[in-house]
Amino acid sequence: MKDKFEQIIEGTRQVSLTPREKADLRGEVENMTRKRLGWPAYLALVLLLGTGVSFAAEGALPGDALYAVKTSFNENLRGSLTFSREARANWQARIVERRLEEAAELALAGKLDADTEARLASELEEHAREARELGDEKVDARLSAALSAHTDAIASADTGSGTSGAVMMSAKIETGTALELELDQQAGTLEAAIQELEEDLKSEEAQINAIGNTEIDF
Amino acid sequence: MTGNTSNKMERAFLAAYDSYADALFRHIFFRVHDRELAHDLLADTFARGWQYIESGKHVDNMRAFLYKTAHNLVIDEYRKHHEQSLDAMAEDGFDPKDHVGEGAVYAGAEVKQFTMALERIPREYREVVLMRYVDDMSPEDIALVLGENANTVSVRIHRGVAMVRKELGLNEEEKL
Repeated sequence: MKDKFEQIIEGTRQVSLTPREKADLRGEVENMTRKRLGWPAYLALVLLLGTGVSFAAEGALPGDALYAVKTSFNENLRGSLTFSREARANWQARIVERRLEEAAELALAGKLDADTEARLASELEEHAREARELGDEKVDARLSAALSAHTDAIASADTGSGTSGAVMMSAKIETGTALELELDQQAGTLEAAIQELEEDLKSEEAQINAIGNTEIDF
Repeated sequence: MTGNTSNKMERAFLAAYDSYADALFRHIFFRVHDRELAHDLLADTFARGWQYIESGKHVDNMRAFLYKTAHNLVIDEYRKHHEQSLDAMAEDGFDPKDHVGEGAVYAGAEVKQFTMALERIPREYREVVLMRYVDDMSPEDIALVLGENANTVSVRIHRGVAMVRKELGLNEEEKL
């Protein structure tokens, strides 16, 4: 005869992963073991970030020779060393912040051209999407905070020069955010929505310019 | 070439996942009482475990090793958020139950009582009772996880179970 204690213990066995959770996590573990990174990669990361090209590249902006090292090498390597879902979401959010910081820096220097702005915006959308897929509300909040802080900075940096580039950049960024939910819809819908948003922004831009003219004295 | 050994390691690690993921999840769940957190800590357990193995360190007893890794992560988590007692959580309106599926986690009131009883006994006893009964580990393996000797662990299991039984209002039983 089983005693009460044993019956209770048996009841605890019902706590388990759902088959879906178990399969998903297995996939992650499998990827991790295939990557064969681990210690040597950590070592490489420490050495590279500690000295040399990779470290120098950390400060690179679009258009700089080392920019590709920053995005293709440094960021990918760091990303591949991030395992938990939360850490990966945060790292993707950090990349979004990095793109925004770059855009703001370029805008401040008056060097944010249309090509760069389009590239940054599309990269940003991609990483923001990934961060959202992986993360929870905390990550969403982090993204929104970063977006609003930087779009303001970019827009105000831009009013002085009178070009619309940076404003469009922030528009695209916001579009990316707003359209997040609709991404599964056809590309046509997406483009129409972008156009609509751009039109909205023209009036906003006019306002910003007006403010810029009164407050910023060159 | 290390290719072969590496493949073997990968396979062994994945096999360990297949065998122990559910039990580890259960173990972590009963220690943190939060399904999502338990899931994250489980993922971290395998990530840390693999990093350790990849660094070339040898693991004799995979099961004990994974429990030890999970155990350390749980302790870190406790330290991060101070230890929140289940009673305090219940006062805040926390009611331990599963958030996924049909709510099957605390299937019976009894399992819930068991969880509350576990929370009321000191942590060092709670750990061993969980590992011995819920995870069905031998005192030797538990000793490996905790870095203690098997005798100490056996004594602790014995006392821990007596405490849980007392909390549950069950009679002492020699058989255990």
